[in-house]
Amino acid sequence: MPQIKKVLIANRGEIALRVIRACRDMGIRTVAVYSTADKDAMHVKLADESVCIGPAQSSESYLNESAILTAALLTNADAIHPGYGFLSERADFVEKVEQHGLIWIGPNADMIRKMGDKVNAKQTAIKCGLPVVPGSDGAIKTIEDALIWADKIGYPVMIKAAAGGGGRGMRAVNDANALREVFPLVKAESKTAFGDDTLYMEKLLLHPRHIEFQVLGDKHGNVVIFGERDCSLQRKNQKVMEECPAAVLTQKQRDDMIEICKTAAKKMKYTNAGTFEFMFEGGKFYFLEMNTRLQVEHPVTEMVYGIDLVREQIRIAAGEKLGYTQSNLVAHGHAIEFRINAEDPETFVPNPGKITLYAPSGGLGVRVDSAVYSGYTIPSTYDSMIAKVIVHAQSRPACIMRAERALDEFVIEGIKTTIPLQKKLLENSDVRQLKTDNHWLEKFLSEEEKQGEQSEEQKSE
Amino acid sequence: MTSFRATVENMSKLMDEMGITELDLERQLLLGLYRKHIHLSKQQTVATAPVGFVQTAKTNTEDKISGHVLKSPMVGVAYLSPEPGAKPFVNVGSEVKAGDTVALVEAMKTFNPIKSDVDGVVKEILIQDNSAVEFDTPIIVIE
Repeated sequence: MPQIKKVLIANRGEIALRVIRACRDMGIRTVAVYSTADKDAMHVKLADESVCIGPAQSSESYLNESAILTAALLTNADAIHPGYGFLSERADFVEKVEQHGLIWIGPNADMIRKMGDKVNAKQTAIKCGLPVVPGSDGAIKTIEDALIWADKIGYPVMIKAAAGGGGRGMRAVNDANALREVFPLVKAESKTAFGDDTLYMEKLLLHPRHIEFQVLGDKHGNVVIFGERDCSLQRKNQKVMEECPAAVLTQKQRDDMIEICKTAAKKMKYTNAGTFEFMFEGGKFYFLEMNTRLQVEHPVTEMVYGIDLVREQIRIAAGEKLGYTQSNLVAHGHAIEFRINAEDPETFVPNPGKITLYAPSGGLGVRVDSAVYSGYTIPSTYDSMIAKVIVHAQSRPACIMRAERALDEFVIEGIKTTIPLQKKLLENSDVRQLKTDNHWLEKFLSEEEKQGEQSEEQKSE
Repeated sequence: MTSFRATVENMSKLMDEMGITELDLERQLLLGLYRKHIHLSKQQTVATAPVGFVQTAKTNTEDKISGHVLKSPMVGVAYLSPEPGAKPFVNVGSEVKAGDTVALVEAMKTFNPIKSDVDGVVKEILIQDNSAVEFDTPIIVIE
C-alpha cells in the first residue's frame, strides 16, 4: 500500500487550508503552491513548504499543469490534492500526475471523463439505474409523434431544438392544444435560426429543488452514500446556502435514494469522493450531473455525520479500505452552510480590498472555514468567496437560531460581504418553512430590488 | 522518559545537523500546572543549500539587489552551464548582450533558456548551479 507522507495542494483560499488542516491532523507534510498575487495568503503561511508557480492569472499559475507537476517533483511530494475548481476535474492532468508516479487524491481519469461530461454522464446514469429527466429518446418528426411522447412523459413538457442552446429554441407547453399550436412554430423557428429543425422533448420541471448525495468509494469496491444536501437557494447557479439533511424528504425517500445511489456508484466502480446531483420535484428525483471531486458544501455532511471527508479522500487515495459500512453512518442533527462572498449584498458586484478587521463567530456548533485574516487584502483575480460559516445543531429550527447568532457575531470590516443577505434569508418565512425551489432566490432578489426602488422614490417625493 | 534537559540538548544537536535556526519547545506537565516555552535560536551559519526551495534567503536577497535582475520565468531547476561540467554561460564580470543565454531552467524535462534582455556586465549570480527555483526567483543581476 503506498503511503502518503507529503501532499501538494494545487489550490488556494479556504479549500487549500481545509486540505492542509486534514493533512496536519494525519501527520502528513504539506506543500502549498501560489501565484505572485497570493504571496501573503494564509495557505502559504500554514503549509510546511510553499512554491511560487506563476503570475496572478490562474491560467499561468493555478491552472499551469507543468508548473504544478514540477513543484510536486522538486518538493518530493507523493500526492496531489486538487481541491475544487481549477484542475480538479481535468482528466488529462490526472493522467499526467499518475505518469509521474504521483498519487491523485480524487477519482481516476476514466471516471472524470465518464461523469464529468454532461452528455456522457446522462448515458452512464441511465445505465447505472439513476432516474433521469424523462424525454423523447431521439428526434420527434411529426406532431402525432409529439403528442404521443407528451402523453407518455406527462405535461408540462419542454420542446427543444437539438441545435439550440443557451435558452434559445426552447418552448414550454402545458397541454395538447398548446402543443398542436406551438410544435410547427418551433420547428420553423429552429429551421431559420439554426438551419436544423430536429426537435426533441423533455419533461419540464417547474419548481425543482436541488438535492445531492455524497459518495465515498474505496479502491476495494466498498461504497457508502451519505444523506443528502439541499442546495436549492441559488443565484445564477451559484449556491448561497446549503443544508444537510434536506428537510423536505421523508425517511423512506431518503433511504430509497441512498440505495439507488449506492447501486449506481458500485456499478460504475466509483472511487474517492463525488456527488450525485438531482432535481427533486413532486416526490421524484431526476439526475442532473455528477461532480467528480470534493464540493464546496462538503462540511455540512461532515458536521452531521462526524466524518472528515478530506481525510477519507487521502486514505482512499493511499489504498486504504473505508473500514465502515452504510449502517455505520448515523446522521446527527442538522447543519447549514453559508457562503460569505466579498460582494455587495444587493448588487453582487465583487468588492475586493483590504480587510481591516476580521473576527469570525465561534462557540458551540459553529465552524468557520476561511483563509482571510485582519489586514489581508483580497486579490481581485480570483473568486469572491472569502468564508464559509457552517452551523450545526440538534434540529433544523435550533440550527436556524444558532445560524442567526453566528451571522450576527461575524465581523468583517473594510469590505462588503453577503452576510446581510444571508441574515435576511434566515428571517424569511419561505426559507424557514421550506417553501423554496431553485428559482426562489432570484425571484426574491428581484422583488427586493423593486421594493428598494419604490422606497427610494418615496424618499425623493 | 528522557529528562527535559536531555531533550533540549538533543534538539539543539539535531538543529545543528539539519541547519534549523529556530525552534519552539513547549513543556507541559500532565496536570497542566504550568507551561514553559523555550525558544531555541541560533546564529545562522553558512547556508548549506538544503534540498528544495530556500525561501527566506530568496526574499532577503531580493530586497538588497540593485541593478537589472533576470528572474526565473517558471518553477524548475536552474543550471548555470549548458551541460554538467561545461563552462558556465556567464561569470561575475562577464559582458552580456541582449539575447545572450545566461542560464537554463528545466521544467518537465524541457530546458528553457534564460536570456538577458539588456546589454551589460554580470554583477552577481544569485543562485547555485543545479538548484530549485520558483517563478520570479532572481537569478542574475546585470549592470
